[in-house]
Amino acid sequence: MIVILAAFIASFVVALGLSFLLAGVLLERSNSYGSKKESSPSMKRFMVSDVNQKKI
Amino acid sequence: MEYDPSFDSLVCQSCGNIIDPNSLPDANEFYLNMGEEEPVDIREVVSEDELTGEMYDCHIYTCSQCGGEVIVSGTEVSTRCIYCGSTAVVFNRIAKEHRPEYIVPFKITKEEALKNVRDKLLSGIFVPRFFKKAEPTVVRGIYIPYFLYEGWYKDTQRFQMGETPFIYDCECDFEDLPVEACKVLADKTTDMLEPYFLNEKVPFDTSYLMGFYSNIQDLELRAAQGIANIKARDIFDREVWTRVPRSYFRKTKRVSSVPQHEFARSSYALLPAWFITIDKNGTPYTFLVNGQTGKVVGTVPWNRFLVGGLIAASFITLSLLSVLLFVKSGLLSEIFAMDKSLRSHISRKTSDTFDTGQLYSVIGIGMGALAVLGAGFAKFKKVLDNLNLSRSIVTFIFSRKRQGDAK
Repeated sequence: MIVILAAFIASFVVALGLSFLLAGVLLERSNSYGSKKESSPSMKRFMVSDVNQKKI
Repeated sequence: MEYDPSFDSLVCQSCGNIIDPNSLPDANEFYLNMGEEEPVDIREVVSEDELTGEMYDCHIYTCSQCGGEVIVSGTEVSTRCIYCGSTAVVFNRIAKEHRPEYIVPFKITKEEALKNVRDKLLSGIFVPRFFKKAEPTVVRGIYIPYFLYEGWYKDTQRFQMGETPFIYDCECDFEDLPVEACKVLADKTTDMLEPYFLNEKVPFDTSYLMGFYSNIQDLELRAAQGIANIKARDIFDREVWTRVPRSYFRKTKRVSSVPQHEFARSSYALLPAWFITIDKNGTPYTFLVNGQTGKVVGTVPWNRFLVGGLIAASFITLSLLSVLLFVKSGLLSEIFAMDKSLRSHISRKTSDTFDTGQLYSVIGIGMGALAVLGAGFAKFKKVLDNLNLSRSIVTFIFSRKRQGDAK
Protein backbone atom coordinates (compact mmCIF):
# COMPACT_ATOMS: atom_id res chain seq x y z
CA MET A 1 0.00 0.00 0.00
CA ILE A 2 2.80 2.41 0.90
CA VAL A 3 4.31 1.83 -2.55
CA ILE A 4 1.02 2.82 -4.22
CA LEU A 5 0.85 5.92 -2.08
CA ALA A 6 4.46 6.79 -3.00
CA ALA A 7 3.71 6.24 -6.69
CA PHE A 8 0.65 8.47 -6.41
CA ILE A 9 2.65 11.31 -4.85
CA ALA A 10 5.51 10.73 -7.29
CA SER A 11 3.15 11.07 -10.23
CA PHE A 12 2.57 14.74 -9.27
CA VAL A 13 6.30 15.36 -9.02
CA VAL A 14 6.74 13.76 -12.46
CA ALA A 15 3.90 15.92 -13.80
CA LEU A 16 5.67 19.02 -12.50
CA GLY A 17 8.98 17.89 -14.00
CA LEU A 18 7.38 17.15 -17.36
CA SER A 19 5.66 20.54 -17.34
CA PHE A 20 8.99 22.32 -16.87
CA LEU A 21 10.59 20.08 -19.48
CA LEU A 22 7.87 20.90 -21.99
CA ALA A 23 8.10 24.62 -21.23
CA GLY A 24 11.89 24.46 -21.53
CA VAL A 25 11.77 22.70 -24.90
CA LEU A 26 9.17 25.11 -26.28
CA LEU A 27 11.03 28.12 -24.89
CA GLU A 28 14.27 26.95 -26.44
CA ARG A 29 12.58 26.69 -29.82
CA SER A 30 10.76 29.97 -29.47
CA ASN A 31 13.12 32.32 -27.63
CA SER A 32 16.61 30.85 -27.85
CA TYR A 33 18.48 30.95 -31.13
CA GLY A 34 21.67 29.28 -32.27
CA SER A 35 22.18 26.98 -29.30
CA LYS A 36 22.14 23.88 -31.48
CA LYS A 37 25.67 22.72 -32.27
CA GLU A 38 26.26 22.16 -35.94
CA SER A 39 28.82 19.92 -37.54
CA SER A 40 32.18 21.56 -37.99
CA PRO A 41 33.53 22.02 -41.51
CA SER A 42 37.02 22.02 -39.97
CA MET A 43 36.90 18.28 -39.50
CA LYS A 44 38.22 16.39 -42.50
CA ARG A 45 38.59 12.73 -43.33
CA PHE A 46 36.87 11.06 -40.37
CA MET A 47 37.81 7.39 -40.42
CA VAL A 48 36.45 4.52 -38.36
CA SER A 49 38.22 1.20 -38.18
CA ASP A 50 38.15 -2.00 -36.12
CA VAL A 51 34.54 -1.52 -35.24
CA ASN A 52 33.07 -4.55 -33.57
CA GLN A 53 30.04 -4.43 -35.82
CA LYS A 54 28.89 -7.96 -35.06
CA LYS A 55 28.20 -7.14 -31.45
CA ILE A 56 26.06 -4.09 -32.20
CA MET B 1 34.75 54.48 -48.27
CA GLU B 2 33.15 51.50 -46.60
CA TYR B 3 33.32 47.83 -47.42
CA ASP B 4 29.89 46.71 -48.65
CA PRO B 5 29.30 42.93 -48.43
CA SER B 6 26.54 43.02 -51.04
CA PHE B 7 28.99 44.37 -53.65
CA ASP B 8 32.06 42.67 -52.18
CA SER B 9 33.70 46.04 -52.83
CA LEU B 10 34.45 49.38 -51.28
CA VAL B 11 31.67 51.89 -51.81
CA CYS B 12 32.12 55.63 -51.50
CA GLN B 13 29.42 57.08 -49.25
CA SER B 14 29.47 60.44 -51.08
CA CYS B 15 29.58 59.62 -54.80
CA GLY B 16 28.57 55.94 -54.78
CA ASN B 17 31.73 54.88 -56.60
CA ILE B 18 32.50 51.17 -56.28
CA ILE B 19 36.09 50.01 -56.04
CA ASP B 20 37.49 46.50 -55.89
CA PRO B 21 39.62 46.34 -52.73
CA ASN B 22 42.16 44.13 -54.49
CA SER B 23 42.86 46.86 -57.02
CA LEU B 24 44.02 49.25 -54.30
CA PRO B 25 47.65 49.49 -53.23
CA ASP B 26 48.37 48.03 -49.81
CA ALA B 27 46.81 50.66 -47.54
CA ASN B 28 49.00 49.65 -44.68
CA GLU B 29 52.14 50.38 -46.63
CA PHE B 30 50.62 53.61 -47.92
CA TYR B 31 49.87 55.01 -44.51
CA LEU B 32 53.09 53.86 -43.02
CA ASN B 33 55.07 55.63 -45.71
CA MET B 34 52.93 58.73 -46.28
CA GLY B 35 54.87 60.93 -43.90
CA GLU B 36 58.51 61.79 -43.95
CA GLU B 37 58.92 60.42 -40.50
CA GLU B 38 58.77 56.75 -39.88
CA PRO B 39 56.12 55.64 -37.39
CA VAL B 40 57.48 55.59 -33.89
CA ASP B 41 57.47 52.35 -32.01
CA ILE B 42 55.34 52.71 -28.88
CA ARG B 43 58.16 51.18 -26.86
CA GLU B 44 60.37 54.16 -27.69
CA VAL B 45 57.86 56.56 -26.16
CA VAL B 46 56.46 54.55 -23.28
CA SER B 47 58.48 52.49 -20.85
CA GLU B 48 57.98 48.74 -20.57
CA ASP B 49 56.35 49.23 -17.16
CA GLU B 50 53.84 51.65 -18.56
CA LEU B 51 53.14 49.34 -21.46
CA THR B 52 51.88 46.67 -19.14
CA GLY B 53 49.71 49.11 -17.19
CA GLU B 54 46.57 51.06 -17.91
CA MET B 55 48.17 53.39 -20.44
CA TYR B 56 48.55 50.58 -22.92
CA ASP B 57 44.81 50.31 -23.17
CA CYS B 58 44.21 53.91 -24.20
CA HIS B 59 46.27 55.48 -26.94
CA ILE B 60 45.46 58.52 -28.98
CA TYR B 61 45.76 58.41 -32.73
CA THR B 62 45.20 61.04 -35.32
CA CYS B 63 42.39 60.67 -37.83
CA SER B 64 43.87 60.50 -41.29
CA GLN B 65 41.03 62.59 -42.76
CA CYS B 66 40.22 65.39 -40.31
CA GLY B 67 43.26 65.32 -38.10
CA GLY B 68 41.15 64.79 -35.00
CA GLU B 69 42.41 62.62 -32.23
CA VAL B 70 40.79 59.24 -31.91
CA ILE B 71 40.90 57.27 -28.70
CA VAL B 72 41.41 53.61 -29.37
CA SER B 73 40.88 51.01 -26.70
CA GLY B 74 43.71 48.66 -25.94
CA THR B 75 42.66 45.79 -28.12
CA GLU B 76 40.99 47.68 -30.91
CA VAL B 77 42.53 47.97 -34.35
CA SER B 78 39.97 49.86 -36.37
CA THR B 79 37.34 52.40 -35.50
CA ARG B 80 35.40 55.40 -36.71
CA CYS B 81 36.65 58.87 -36.00
CA ILE B 82 34.47 60.33 -33.28
CA TYR B 83 34.64 63.78 -34.90
CA CYS B 84 34.12 63.34 -38.63
CA GLY B 85 32.79 59.77 -38.61
CA SER B 86 35.27 58.65 -41.21
CA THR B 87 36.45 55.05 -41.12
CA ALA B 88 39.92 55.85 -39.90
CA VAL B 89 41.88 52.63 -39.79
CA VAL B 90 44.77 52.77 -37.36
CA PHE B 91 47.43 51.19 -39.51
CA ASN B 92 50.27 51.85 -37.11
CA ARG B 93 48.57 49.76 -34.51
CA ILE B 94 48.10 46.85 -36.88
CA ALA B 95 51.75 46.99 -37.79
CA LYS B 96 52.80 46.83 -34.18
CA GLU B 97 50.52 43.97 -33.30
CA HIS B 98 50.10 40.64 -34.97
CA ARG B 99 48.72 41.28 -38.41
CA PRO B 100 46.06 38.72 -39.36
CA GLU B 101 46.98 36.47 -42.26
CA TYR B 102 43.39 35.96 -43.37
CA ILE B 103 40.00 37.54 -43.17
CA VAL B 104 36.52 36.28 -44.00
CA PRO B 105 34.74 39.33 -45.41
CA PHE B 106 31.17 40.15 -44.41
CA LYS B 107 28.70 38.45 -46.75
CA ILE B 108 25.64 39.43 -44.75
CA THR B 109 24.69 43.08 -44.88
CA LYS B 110 23.43 45.03 -41.89
CA GLU B 111 19.88 44.95 -43.30
CA GLU B 112 20.01 41.17 -43.78
CA ALA B 113 21.32 40.68 -40.24
CA LEU B 114 18.53 42.85 -38.84
CA LYS B 115 15.97 40.96 -40.89
CA ASN B 116 17.25 37.61 -39.64
CA VAL B 117 16.93 38.75 -36.02
CA ARG B 118 13.52 40.31 -36.63
CA ASP B 119 12.25 37.13 -38.34
CA LYS B 120 13.33 35.05 -35.35
CA LEU B 121 11.66 37.40 -32.89
CA LEU B 122 8.43 37.54 -34.87
CA SER B 123 8.19 33.76 -35.12
CA GLY B 124 8.64 33.14 -31.38
CA ILE B 125 5.33 32.38 -29.66
CA PHE B 126 6.64 33.30 -26.20
CA VAL B 127 8.50 36.43 -27.32
CA PRO B 128 7.01 39.51 -25.60
CA ARG B 129 5.38 42.08 -27.87
CA PHE B 130 8.04 44.64 -26.90
CA PHE B 131 10.79 42.66 -28.63
CA LYS B 132 8.68 42.05 -31.72
CA LYS B 133 8.35 45.79 -32.23
CA ALA B 134 11.61 47.05 -30.72
CA GLU B 135 14.18 48.89 -32.79
CA PRO B 136 17.82 47.98 -32.07
CA THR B 137 19.76 50.63 -30.18
CA VAL B 138 23.19 49.47 -31.34
CA VAL B 139 24.18 47.61 -34.50
CA ARG B 140 27.87 46.86 -34.99
CA GLY B 141 29.70 44.87 -37.61
CA ILE B 142 32.72 43.50 -35.78
CA TYR B 143 35.56 41.28 -36.93
CA ILE B 144 36.37 38.79 -34.20
CA PRO B 145 39.94 37.51 -33.98
CA TYR B 146 40.46 33.77 -34.29
CA PHE B 147 43.48 31.50 -34.25
CA LEU B 148 43.22 28.72 -36.82
CA TYR B 149 44.64 25.33 -35.94
CA GLU B 150 45.64 22.32 -37.98
CA GLY B 151 46.23 18.84 -36.68
CA TRP B 152 44.90 15.36 -36.13
CA TYR B 153 42.92 13.58 -33.44
CA LYS B 154 42.58 9.86 -32.88
CA ASP B 155 40.94 7.85 -30.18
CA THR B 156 39.97 4.31 -29.32
CA GLN B 157 36.66 4.48 -27.53
CA ARG B 158 35.13 1.49 -25.78
CA PHE B 159 31.40 1.47 -25.29
CA GLN B 160 29.24 -0.75 -23.17
CA MET B 161 25.80 -1.62 -24.40
CA GLY B 162 24.24 -3.58 -21.58
CA GLU B 163 26.59 -6.54 -21.23
CA THR B 164 28.04 -6.17 -24.71
CA PRO B 165 31.22 -4.16 -25.25
CA PHE B 166 32.13 -2.68 -28.58
CA ILE B 167 34.98 -0.55 -29.78
CA TYR B 168 35.30 2.35 -32.16
CA ASP B 169 38.77 3.16 -33.38
CA CYS B 170 38.56 6.53 -35.09
CA GLU B 171 40.79 9.23 -36.39
CA CYS B 172 40.36 12.46 -38.25
CA ASP B 173 42.22 15.52 -39.46
CA PHE B 174 41.39 19.10 -38.66
CA GLU B 175 41.98 22.00 -40.95
CA ASP B 176 41.38 25.62 -39.98
CA LEU B 177 39.87 24.77 -36.59
CA PRO B 178 38.85 28.22 -35.31
CA VAL B 179 39.64 29.24 -31.73
CA GLU B 180 38.30 32.63 -30.69
CA ALA B 181 41.22 34.73 -29.48
CA CYS B 182 39.48 37.55 -27.68
CA LYS B 183 39.17 37.30 -23.91
CA VAL B 184 36.32 39.81 -23.61
CA LEU B 185 33.74 37.66 -25.40
CA ALA B 186 32.27 34.56 -23.81
CA ASP B 187 33.55 31.44 -25.59
CA LYS B 188 30.10 29.89 -25.38
CA THR B 189 28.60 32.78 -27.35
CA THR B 190 31.15 32.62 -30.13
CA ASP B 191 31.00 28.81 -30.22
CA MET B 192 27.32 29.08 -31.05
CA LEU B 193 28.11 31.49 -33.90
CA GLU B 194 29.94 28.76 -35.74
CA PRO B 195 30.26 27.21 -38.23
CA TYR B 196 32.37 29.55 -40.31
CA PHE B 197 33.38 28.23 -43.70
CA LEU B 198 37.07 29.00 -43.75
CA ASN B 199 37.51 27.92 -47.36
CA GLU B 200 36.13 31.38 -48.16
CA LYS B 201 38.87 33.17 -46.28
CA VAL B 202 40.99 35.64 -48.24
CA PRO B 203 44.41 37.14 -47.50
CA PHE B 204 44.05 39.97 -45.00
CA ASP B 205 43.64 43.41 -46.44
CA THR B 206 42.89 46.49 -44.38
CA SER B 207 40.30 47.56 -46.96
CA TYR B 208 37.92 44.95 -45.60
CA LEU B 209 37.98 46.64 -42.18
CA MET B 210 36.55 49.89 -43.51
CA GLY B 211 33.11 50.53 -42.10
CA PHE B 212 33.52 47.77 -39.53
CA TYR B 213 35.19 47.30 -36.21
CA SER B 214 37.69 44.76 -35.15
CA ASN B 215 39.69 43.54 -32.25
CA ILE B 216 43.14 42.09 -32.13
CA GLN B 217 43.83 38.90 -30.27
CA ASP B 218 44.58 39.09 -26.57
CA LEU B 219 44.40 35.41 -25.69
CA GLU B 220 47.63 33.69 -24.68
CA LEU B 221 48.82 31.03 -27.12
CA ARG B 222 48.96 28.38 -24.41
CA ALA B 223 45.32 28.99 -23.50
CA ALA B 224 44.33 28.94 -27.17
CA GLN B 225 46.13 25.63 -27.64
CA GLY B 226 44.16 24.15 -24.73
CA ILE B 227 40.88 25.41 -26.15
CA ALA B 228 41.77 23.93 -29.57
CA ASN B 229 42.33 20.52 -27.95
CA ILE B 230 39.03 20.64 -26.06
CA LYS B 231 37.14 21.86 -29.11
CA ALA B 232 38.59 19.13 -31.32
CA ARG B 233 37.65 16.53 -28.70
CA ASP B 234 34.05 17.79 -28.53
CA ILE B 235 33.67 17.74 -32.33
CA PHE B 236 35.31 14.31 -32.52
CA ASP B 237 33.13 12.84 -29.76
CA ARG B 238 29.97 14.21 -31.35
CA GLU B 239 30.96 12.55 -34.60
CA VAL B 240 31.64 9.22 -32.89
CA TRP B 241 28.23 9.36 -31.19
CA THR B 242 26.57 9.79 -34.57
CA ARG B 243 28.02 6.38 -35.48
CA VAL B 244 26.23 4.72 -32.58
CA PRO B 245 22.88 3.39 -33.79
CA ARG B 246 20.01 5.52 -32.49
CA SER B 247 18.20 2.61 -30.86
CA TYR B 248 21.18 1.98 -28.60
CA PHE B 249 21.65 5.59 -27.48
CA ARG B 250 20.02 5.28 -24.09
CA LYS B 251 21.55 1.94 -23.26
CA THR B 252 25.05 2.83 -24.37
CA LYS B 253 27.74 4.15 -22.09
CA ARG B 254 31.29 5.10 -23.00
CA VAL B 255 33.57 3.29 -20.59
CA SER B 256 37.03 4.18 -21.83
CA SER B 257 38.79 6.53 -24.16
CA VAL B 258 42.43 6.81 -25.20
CA PRO B 259 42.74 10.10 -27.08
CA GLN B 260 45.84 11.19 -28.93
CA HIS B 261 46.14 14.47 -30.75
CA GLU B 262 48.51 16.99 -32.16
CA PHE B 263 47.62 20.55 -33.09
CA ALA B 264 49.60 23.50 -34.29
CA ARG B 265 48.51 27.04 -34.94
CA SER B 266 48.43 27.61 -38.67
CA SER B 267 47.26 31.20 -38.95
CA TYR B 268 45.48 34.15 -37.41
CA ALA B 269 42.26 35.36 -39.02
CA LEU B 270 39.42 37.81 -38.51
CA LEU B 271 35.88 36.43 -38.83
CA PRO B 272 32.77 38.59 -39.22
CA ALA B 273 29.83 38.99 -36.84
CA TRP B 274 27.04 41.50 -36.38
CA PHE B 275 26.26 42.61 -32.83
CA ILE B 276 22.67 43.80 -32.54
CA THR B 277 21.56 45.21 -29.20
CA ILE B 278 17.99 45.84 -28.10
CA ASP B 279 17.59 47.83 -24.91
CA LYS B 280 14.73 47.07 -22.56
CA ASN B 281 14.36 49.16 -19.42
CA GLY B 282 18.09 49.80 -19.35
CA THR B 283 19.04 46.14 -19.83
CA PRO B 284 20.79 45.41 -23.10
CA TYR B 285 20.02 42.18 -24.96
CA THR B 286 22.66 41.49 -27.58
CA PHE B 287 22.12 39.17 -30.53
CA LEU B 288 25.00 37.99 -32.64
CA VAL B 289 24.63 37.23 -36.31
CA ASN B 290 27.27 35.26 -38.17
CA GLY B 291 28.48 37.72 -40.81
CA GLN B 292 29.10 34.91 -43.28
CA THR B 293 26.10 32.59 -42.88
CA GLY B 294 23.51 34.81 -41.19
CA LYS B 295 23.04 32.42 -38.25
CA VAL B 296 21.43 34.20 -35.31
CA VAL B 297 22.62 33.61 -31.74
CA GLY B 298 20.81 34.99 -28.70
CA THR B 299 17.94 34.54 -26.28
CA VAL B 300 15.09 36.89 -25.46
CA PRO B 301 13.06 36.99 -22.25
CA TRP B 302 9.68 35.34 -22.43
CA ASN B 303 6.14 36.38 -21.79
CA ARG B 304 5.78 35.31 -18.15
CA PHE B 305 2.01 34.96 -18.27
CA LEU B 306 2.15 32.67 -21.28
CA VAL B 307 4.96 30.51 -19.91
CA GLY B 308 3.45 30.40 -16.41
CA GLY B 309 0.09 29.49 -17.94
CA LEU B 310 1.68 26.74 -20.01
CA ILE B 311 3.43 25.22 -16.98
CA ALA B 312 0.26 25.42 -14.86
CA ALA B 313 -1.95 24.02 -17.64
CA SER B 314 0.37 21.12 -18.43
CA PHE B 315 0.85 20.35 -14.72
CA ILE B 316 -2.91 20.27 -14.11
CA THR B 317 -3.50 18.17 -17.23
CA LEU B 318 -0.80 15.64 -16.40
CA SER B 319 -1.91 15.46 -12.75
CA LEU B 320 -5.51 14.83 -13.82
CA LEU B 321 -4.33 12.13 -16.22
CA SER B 322 -2.38 10.50 -13.44
CA VAL B 323 -5.37 10.65 -11.06
CA LEU B 324 -7.56 9.21 -13.81
CA LEU B 325 -5.09 6.39 -14.30
CA PHE B 326 -5.15 5.61 -10.59
CA VAL B 327 -8.96 5.77 -10.51
CA LYS B 328 -9.32 3.49 -13.53
CA SER B 329 -6.95 0.93 -12.12
CA GLY B 330 -8.72 1.02 -8.75
CA LEU B 331 -5.56 1.98 -6.91
CA LEU B 332 -6.89 5.34 -5.78
CA SER B 333 -9.91 3.79 -4.12
CA GLU B 334 -7.57 1.44 -2.30
CA ILE B 335 -5.65 4.40 -0.94
CA PHE B 336 -8.79 6.20 0.18
CA ALA B 337 -10.36 3.02 1.52
CA MET B 338 -7.67 2.74 4.10
CA ASP B 339 -9.24 3.48 7.45
CA LYS B 340 -7.49 5.05 10.34
CA SER B 341 -6.48 1.77 11.90
CA LEU B 342 -4.94 0.59 8.66
CA ARG B 343 -3.08 3.83 8.29
CA SER B 344 -1.82 3.55 11.81
CA HIS B 345 -0.87 -0.06 11.10
CA ILE B 346 1.06 1.00 8.05
CA SER B 347 2.62 3.75 10.05
CA ARG B 348 3.69 1.29 12.73
CA LYS B 349 4.92 -1.13 10.11
CA THR B 350 6.95 1.64 8.47
CA SER B 351 8.64 2.56 11.69
CA ASP B 352 8.93 -0.91 13.17
CA THR B 353 9.11 -3.64 10.57
CA PHE B 354 9.27 -1.87 7.24
CA ASP B 355 9.66 -4.33 4.40
CA THR B 356 13.01 -3.87 2.61
CA GLY B 357 11.48 -4.50 -0.79
CA GLN B 358 8.88 -1.82 -0.20
CA LEU B 359 11.57 0.57 0.99
CA TYR B 360 13.59 0.04 -2.19
CA SER B 361 10.45 0.51 -4.30
CA VAL B 362 9.60 3.78 -2.56
CA ILE B 363 13.18 5.02 -2.91
CA GLY B 364 13.22 3.99 -6.58
CA ILE B 365 9.93 5.72 -7.32
CA GLY B 366 11.08 8.82 -5.44
CA MET B 367 14.40 8.97 -7.25
CA GLY B 368 12.76 8.43 -10.62
CA ALA B 369 10.30 11.23 -9.97
CA LEU B 370 13.08 13.55 -8.78
CA ALA B 371 15.14 12.69 -11.88
CA VAL B 372 12.28 13.79 -14.14
CA LEU B 373 11.85 16.95 -12.06
CA GLY B 374 15.60 17.60 -12.27
CA ALA B 375 15.58 17.11 -16.05
CA GLY B 376 12.73 19.61 -16.32
CA PHE B 377 14.51 22.20 -14.20
CA ALA B 378 17.80 21.60 -16.06
CA LYS B 379 16.15 22.27 -19.41
CA PHE B 380 14.63 25.45 -18.06
CA LYS B 381 17.94 26.51 -16.54
CA LYS B 382 19.68 26.02 -19.89
CA VAL B 383 17.35 28.55 -21.48
CA LEU B 384 17.93 30.90 -18.53
CA ASP B 385 21.71 30.58 -18.95
CA ASN B 386 21.41 31.42 -22.63
CA LEU B 387 19.31 34.43 -21.70
CA ASN B 388 22.02 35.59 -19.31
CA LEU B 389 24.55 35.28 -22.13
CA SER B 390 22.40 37.52 -24.31
CA ARG B 391 22.15 40.17 -21.64
CA SER B 392 25.80 39.80 -20.72
CA ILE B 393 27.01 43.29 -20.06
CA VAL B 394 30.44 42.25 -21.37
CA THR B 395 29.03 41.40 -24.80
CA PHE B 396 27.20 44.70 -24.80
CA ILE B 397 30.27 46.66 -23.84
CA PHE B 398 32.25 44.81 -26.52
CA SER B 399 30.02 46.29 -29.19
CA ARG B 400 29.15 49.57 -27.45
CA LYS B 401 32.74 50.50 -26.69
CA ARG B 402 33.45 51.03 -30.35
CA GLN B 403 33.03 54.68 -31.13
CA GLY B 404 30.94 56.11 -33.94
CA ASP B 405 27.32 56.35 -34.81
CA ALA B 406 24.83 54.29 -32.91
CA LYS B 407 23.30 52.46 -35.85
